Amino acid sequence: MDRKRLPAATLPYLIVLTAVTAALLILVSCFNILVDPFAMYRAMEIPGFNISKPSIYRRMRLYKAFEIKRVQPQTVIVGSSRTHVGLRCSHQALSRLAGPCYNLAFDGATTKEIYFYLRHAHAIRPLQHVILGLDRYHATSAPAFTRSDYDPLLLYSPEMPRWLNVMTADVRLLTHFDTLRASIHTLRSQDDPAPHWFASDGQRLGDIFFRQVEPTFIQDGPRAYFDAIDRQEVQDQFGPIPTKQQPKSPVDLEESALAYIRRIVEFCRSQQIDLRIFITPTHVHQSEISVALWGEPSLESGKRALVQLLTEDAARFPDRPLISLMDFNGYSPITTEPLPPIGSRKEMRFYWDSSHFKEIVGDYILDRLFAVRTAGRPVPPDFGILLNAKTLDTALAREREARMEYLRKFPKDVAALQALIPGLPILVYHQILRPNTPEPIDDSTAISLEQFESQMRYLHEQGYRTLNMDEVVDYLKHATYPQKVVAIHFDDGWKSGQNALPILKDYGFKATFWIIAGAGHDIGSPHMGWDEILTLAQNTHIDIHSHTMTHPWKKGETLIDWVEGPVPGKGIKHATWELTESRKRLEEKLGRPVRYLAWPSGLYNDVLIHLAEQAGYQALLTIDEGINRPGNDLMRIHRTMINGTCDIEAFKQSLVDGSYNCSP
Amino acid sequence: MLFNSYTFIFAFLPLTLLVYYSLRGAGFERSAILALTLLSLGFYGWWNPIDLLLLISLTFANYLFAKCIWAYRQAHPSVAKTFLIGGLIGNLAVLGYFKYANFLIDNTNALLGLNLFLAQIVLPLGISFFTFQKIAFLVDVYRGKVDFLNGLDFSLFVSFFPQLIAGPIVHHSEVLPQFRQTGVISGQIPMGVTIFIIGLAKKIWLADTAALYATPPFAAAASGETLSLLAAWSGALAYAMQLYFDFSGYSDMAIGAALLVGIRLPVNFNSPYKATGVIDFWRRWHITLSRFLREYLYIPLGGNRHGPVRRYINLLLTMLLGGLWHGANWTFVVWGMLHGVYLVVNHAWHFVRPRILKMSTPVRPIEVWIGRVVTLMAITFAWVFFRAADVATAFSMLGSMVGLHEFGTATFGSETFLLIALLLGAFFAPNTQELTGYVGPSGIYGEGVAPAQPVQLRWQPTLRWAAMMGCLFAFAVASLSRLSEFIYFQF
Repeated sequence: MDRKRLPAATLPYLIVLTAVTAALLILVSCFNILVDPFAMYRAMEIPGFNISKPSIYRRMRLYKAFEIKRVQPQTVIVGSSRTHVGLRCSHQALSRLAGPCYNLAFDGATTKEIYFYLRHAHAIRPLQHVILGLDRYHATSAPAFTRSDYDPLLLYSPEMPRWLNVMTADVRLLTHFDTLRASIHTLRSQDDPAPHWFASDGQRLGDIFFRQVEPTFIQDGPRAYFDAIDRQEVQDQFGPIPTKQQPKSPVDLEESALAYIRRIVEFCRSQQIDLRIFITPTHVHQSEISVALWGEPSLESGKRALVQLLTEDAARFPDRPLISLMDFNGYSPITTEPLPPIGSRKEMRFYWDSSHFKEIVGDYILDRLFAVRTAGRPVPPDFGILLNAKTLDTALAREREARMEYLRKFPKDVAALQALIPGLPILVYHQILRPNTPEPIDDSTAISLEQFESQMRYLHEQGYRTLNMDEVVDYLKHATYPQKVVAIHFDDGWKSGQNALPILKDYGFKATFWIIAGAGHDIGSPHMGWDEILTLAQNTHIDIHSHTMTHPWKKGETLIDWVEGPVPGKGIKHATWELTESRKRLEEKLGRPVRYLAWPSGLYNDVLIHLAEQAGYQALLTIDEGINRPGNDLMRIHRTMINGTCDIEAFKQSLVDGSYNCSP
Repeated sequence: MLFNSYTFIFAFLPLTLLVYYSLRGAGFERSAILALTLLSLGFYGWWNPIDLLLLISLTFANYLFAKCIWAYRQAHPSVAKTFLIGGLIGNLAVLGYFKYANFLIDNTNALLGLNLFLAQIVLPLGISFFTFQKIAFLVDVYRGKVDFLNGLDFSLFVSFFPQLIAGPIVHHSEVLPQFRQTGVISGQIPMGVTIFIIGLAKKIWLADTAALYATPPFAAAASGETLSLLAAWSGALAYAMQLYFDFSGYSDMAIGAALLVGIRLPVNFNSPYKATGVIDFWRRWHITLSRFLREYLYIPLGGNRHGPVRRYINLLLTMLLGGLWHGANWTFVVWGMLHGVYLVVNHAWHFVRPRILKMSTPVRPIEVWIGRVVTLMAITFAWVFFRAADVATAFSMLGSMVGLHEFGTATFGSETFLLIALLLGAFFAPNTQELTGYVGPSGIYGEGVAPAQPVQLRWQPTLRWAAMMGCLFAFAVASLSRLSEFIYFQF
């Protein structure tokens, strides 16, 4: 600027303003450097003044970004909290390596974060060895993301000049109000220092963290803590219920979580860094929760993707040593360690909880990754399987077998885990009655329109998604619905069932009608005529399936009696006719496939199931009360009869456990 | 980049000033204007470079339309009118497509039970603001209210970075002449810096703090919780404060940033919560929007020239469209509608008060204060629609506010104290232009008027003020971003 052209007051005003601002910020910075609440420099540590640094525990990513600058490691361990807790640099295999080692894993680490932290570390001092621990959520094609406290401005990258990094990292932090607050907090908390659970090599010390810091672990004991983490895992995986439709955008394959693993591999190749990848050994409970929720045993597809990625890498670099991938996640004596009994305060040998393994397991992992043997610490057999294109299929097959064995040996654990999953209730209605209806009323099945409406409103308010029969079958075969689900059924084809339609339409609910295809039966009367059924069939939210030809139900004359007992003139042949003819008749009338059957009065036995399968039904529905869960038997789907005798509380309960009871 | 970002304050602004004043200092005044235009485009492209295509092509197209209208205006008024209508339709169509197409499709689907699909359209930044500016410009070229037409000036008028994203909605008559000013303009810098810092502090310290207390109640209501009366009111009032300090802070920053390059932008806020009625409120809140709506919507609709009934209908219609301008959502429609009703009531009161109630003409102080409190409550009530995610949430919140649910227990924590402090500030404290004596530009809306001499603490470019502003700036800079924590030990 041309000084002469500025009026007299302008320049002094700006100079003073800038000087005051600068002076204040410098003052704050000096104070922050002195106290150093995030351990950025560790230039001066005085007991009773700033030696205890409580603020670093909540800013792990920030803390480790600066630790790397100080330690300048040539070996780093990266991964999520499991790796953070479980692996130590003092292991003999690592201490033998040249240069310092640092555990750069942090809680909730994503592949994108790991990639940029690796580049950061490498830009500070070239790395020689990287040990990468991967979890279930790493090896997926889901979009890559970073956590809220990930701050790219803290990290070095080759493209960024150093001075700019000093501005965006050091200067920005030192002049920051939050840092000032952390400094004051640091000064105040010296008298009562919290237990230090950070080791100098970056490890989170489980011995201190769980036994002295984690309140649930300390108060309720290891077993209760283990159960609490199981429950939390279910909630986290099941996720929040989306309130509004998210705009669908295709996942950019170059921006998936897996793509960043590929970048890590390529980066290590191009920089000639020795990379060893392992899959973290979570307790089997974690895998079983995944199976129960997503239907995938362990991380099969993730392991396949990783092997494929490494096979491609090996093809590109045939002269160089392979990058090894070792799987510790399978069923081994370690991952299937039995839980201490409920109420016991005994610690487990290998685990803090189903997610975090103890240091001894970390030592086994390092023993295997670096092929060292330690006297007095033999690695259990089956722990750590080398995965590559050749071994993959065998390994996965063996894992499935091992899982079956686990299910046999620990039925209680499996049942307890299953019970944590919300499940699919199916509600069965019959008559939906308007006030003063002339229809004859059967109290055991009828419900008033008003009550029905309030039940539907409740489902809507609770965010339930309704499933049609195809979706019910998908669900049982492990399709995933990231929402609470329910199915609404109407049996017998009562005329008054149609009263439900406007309400279903209002809430956008789907429903399934079970129609008795033959004439002359005495159930569901007055019942819908074919013209009404055909109108119903045009509604895209309604699907229609079979409820046999004549709905035999009277005592001594049921389908079971037909196939088992001597009912005059009725036998297997007639039962088969009920099943096949109803299917044929409905398909003719409706012009679309009929794949499912609901048993009249819910009565069935093994012979009938066999006959129904032969008749081409793909799923069979009972009125055995209960909640359906993925993996349940398609030939014995639970349903709950709803009528008008109980209040809304009983209805709510039916959604939880499939029971519908009340004292009148 | 936002005004309250490191990049803007420490990189973009210094660079812009350096380039601009170097060129001006060397006597290249037109080149300085060109540089300013290019830098403004860079500022806009920082968010989403693709949007630049839209901004540039719209600017170019509008300039062509303006040229045509200009050329035919006198010889062939009908041809000029055709171009005007074409231009208006074009601008509104672009705005409609980007802002309202998804809304329209969703509602058509809901209404007719259809299942039309349209990919989610991303709204280009600031399109609502610059569309209005261009419409006003075309209309005024047609009306013969534009003195000269120049491509470079027009481009800068549209893209000038301080007002591009969030207003004020600048009228061409206010800035185009300023682009041609010569001589020393750097004398405005101290006031510009001061106003910018005041705005920054408002945004960071007041608005973002109020947000801490406004966000949770609205989130709770959206998730289906019913709030108590006290919780709902404190949430709504906190939001009223958040919105005011946020928006007016941003307007201050815009005015300050423009002053740094010697351009005066119109004042956008004049202590709106001091308003004694809703009519008064709209003369104080987002002033540049009110005057646009009056000039280019209300008056063309007929204004008050066709009797009281038509006048009220025009008012309602203007406010409804004004509401929709804020966003494609029913909540904004309801909000605009509500303000339309308020205005009608307010006008009716002005009619009834002297004639029927026979109340004395000098309004007594007690009446003024009742007016203020009632106005603030009515406006806070309407803000609920403005803020809520959907109409159902707004109704749940309003139900709580009128006492349909429990009363709640009063707690006097830091939250209450802060809310009261902000309210008192909005009621009594001098606003930025009263504090600094800032005068808006002169233009079609008249001469810029210096605020009434209010305060002994009026700003002067003295060293003492420089020191105080330095402190304020340091505080603001230290809080520009949040260092977020992450507590997630389980993974």
